[in-house]
Amino acid sequence: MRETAAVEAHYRDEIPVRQGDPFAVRRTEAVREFFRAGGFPTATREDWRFSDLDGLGRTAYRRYSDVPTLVPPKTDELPEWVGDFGCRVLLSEGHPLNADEFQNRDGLEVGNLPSVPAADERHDWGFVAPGEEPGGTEADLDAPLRHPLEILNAGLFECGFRVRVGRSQDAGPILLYSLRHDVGHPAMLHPRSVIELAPGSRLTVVEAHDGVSETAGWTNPSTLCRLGENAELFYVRVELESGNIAHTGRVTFQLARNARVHSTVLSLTGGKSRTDTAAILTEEGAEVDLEGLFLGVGAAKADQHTLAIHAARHTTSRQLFKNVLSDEAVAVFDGKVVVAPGAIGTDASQANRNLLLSQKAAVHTRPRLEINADDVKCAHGAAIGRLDEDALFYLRSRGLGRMDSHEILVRGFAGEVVEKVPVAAVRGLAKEGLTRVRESRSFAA
Amino acid sequence: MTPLLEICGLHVEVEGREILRGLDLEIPLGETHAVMGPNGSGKSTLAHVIAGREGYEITKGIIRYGGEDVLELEPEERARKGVFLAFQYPVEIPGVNNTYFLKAAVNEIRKHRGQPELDAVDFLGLMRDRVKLLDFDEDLIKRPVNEGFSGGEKKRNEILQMTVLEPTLAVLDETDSGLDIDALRIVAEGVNRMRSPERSFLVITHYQRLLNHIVPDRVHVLQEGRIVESGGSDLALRLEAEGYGKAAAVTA
Ligand SMILES: Nc1ncnc2c1ncn2[C@@H]1O[C@H](COP(=O)(O)OP(=O)(O)OP(=O)(O)O)[C@@H](O)[C@H]1O
Ligand SMILES: [Mg+2]
Repeated sequence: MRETAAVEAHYRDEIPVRQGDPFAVRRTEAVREFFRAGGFPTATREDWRFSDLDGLGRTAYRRYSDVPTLVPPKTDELPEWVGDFGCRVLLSEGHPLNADEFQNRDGLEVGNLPSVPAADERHDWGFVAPGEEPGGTEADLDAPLRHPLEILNAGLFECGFRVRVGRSQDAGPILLYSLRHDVGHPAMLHPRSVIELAPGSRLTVVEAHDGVSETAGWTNPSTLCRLGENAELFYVRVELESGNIAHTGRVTFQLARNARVHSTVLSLTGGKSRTDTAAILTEEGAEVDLEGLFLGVGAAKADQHTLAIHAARHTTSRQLFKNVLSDEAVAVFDGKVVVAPGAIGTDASQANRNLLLSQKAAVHTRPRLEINADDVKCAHGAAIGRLDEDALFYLRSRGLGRMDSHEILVRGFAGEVVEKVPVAAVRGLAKEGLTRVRESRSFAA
Repeated sequence: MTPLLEICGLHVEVEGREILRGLDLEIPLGETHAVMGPNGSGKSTLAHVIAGREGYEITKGIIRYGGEDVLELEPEERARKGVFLAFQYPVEIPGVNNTYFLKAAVNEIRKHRGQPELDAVDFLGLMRDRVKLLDFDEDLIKRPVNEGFSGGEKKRNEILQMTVLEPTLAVLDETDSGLDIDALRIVAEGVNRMRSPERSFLVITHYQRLLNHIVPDRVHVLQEGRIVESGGSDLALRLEAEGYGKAAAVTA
């Protein structure tokens, strides 16, 4: 117990202090709330069975701004693909490298989340007023904001971005790129982004998390995307962190009438990650595609949790999460669909497909459906398999080599997700990921 | 002159069961041979073993191709040396584009032959030419390999691949089954156009009808894992009239 108290005290000390912050008290409360609810979730909790984050609680992470020897890298040290984006927000250790480049044009506004928020921006800052959780069968529309690590982010975050697209504007692609380095001390990042699409607008946004660290690191970002009526968002998330960085990230979509979201989470991590993707379909006609691809090599682990809340009639959600697992890679898929009472005409589907390239790779998959309305369509399926021997022979019988044939089939499997990504630079990253799969120990062994 | 394909005393087991039991077959370069035989007699097994599929245990015998023992060669090595198998059941490969796949295959084979690789433009030109000759639906070549193709479309795709890859030995395993009357004629014409003194065909079929279009130099009857009778193209007519029971009796 004393140990927990010490950990809690450590995190309370980490809360950034800002003058005139209407949420100053709320932040401390959030951290307290997090620890009151049990602190870092352990595998004994149902939602965290396969997300072993115990280690997080045992490490005294500090915010980067507390780390004295911080030297932000120059922009030319960034990976080449970042150069493909005309519009970008580059962060090193959570600090903007190119704030001078931000410009508001073509209906697109990019900027820091105000260091002192307005009191009515509660949601943007991740705060749900206590006691708001609905009772009975009513859907909890704020459920994603009640996620324990979301609460902790709300308490600890210090840097944030807001992207706004004006009414009927078509903008992007914009890149939000966060890079971190090994600073020789366990460091944590709690960035927060808010993306707002005005009615009838369109945006393509890529959120990428990159960096290597031998010293333990932790990235816990939150992204909130709010879509007005008839807006359309293409959201691509790329997880590239490796080494000893644990990633726990969340993205939440709130959709108004006839809004559409196409989301892809690419886990190209060499470390361990957990990503929670949530969509709240609040008005009739809203549609969301939630897709994901994990290319797992070595001891990488990706844990994908999804939540689609159908809170209005005639809303649609389609989920497709695919995993390619080599070596000892582990994938988790926990997909949840909630159909609120009265949400008739809901059309929800969920698929999790896994390709195992090694005996030691493992998958845990779990669909969860909570249906509280009539006249709904809910389909779900999971498949775990190896490369098809018939297909391999077919390719080889045409002269393609053994390794190449394996690779072609793996690319074909991944292609269903990759080819739909509307940004060439990101498809390129996926291809690099596929090359790492080919070069992995267990490939075609 | 040594035959292009020479199979002597071939015994093959699958999962402990002997399927081919002392099969002998020779196909000289430039000839087209037909193999007929009842269901389960081992025709597809023979085709797969020629192409080098894993999972078959060759307990005895030899396969020579172009005078070389090929039993130890991987399927891709055989393919690069000019062996082609048109599958009885072509495999669907989701996510792999037909054109991409075939271009990769052509270039592997060209590389082996010491020819320069075809670029996208040259390859597309070649494809377009073959597609037209076979009256193949252009949209199909843009789709994933065989995915959602009808039975007949899959068979035509096999022949399209054959005409693009230009093998020296083409083994056609029941390419005619599933084809409509027009498609059968088109496929047969495609094969006939490719017949040359530099190329041999092994045509596996159940139906004499195909052999009206592709007239073989020799017809062999495969029964219970052995070639039990061989003859000229008229043998197919006799089999059609009398069935296989008689053929077995002849050798008995
Ligand atoms: N992988 C396998 N495992 C077990 N038995 C097999 C396997 N492959 C083939 N066989 C058996 O070998 C025998 C020969 O099969 P094959 O496919 O070669 O016959 P076929 O002559 O091509 O028949 P058909 O005219 O129906 O195509 C059959 O009895 C079949 O069941
Ligand atoms: Mg057969």
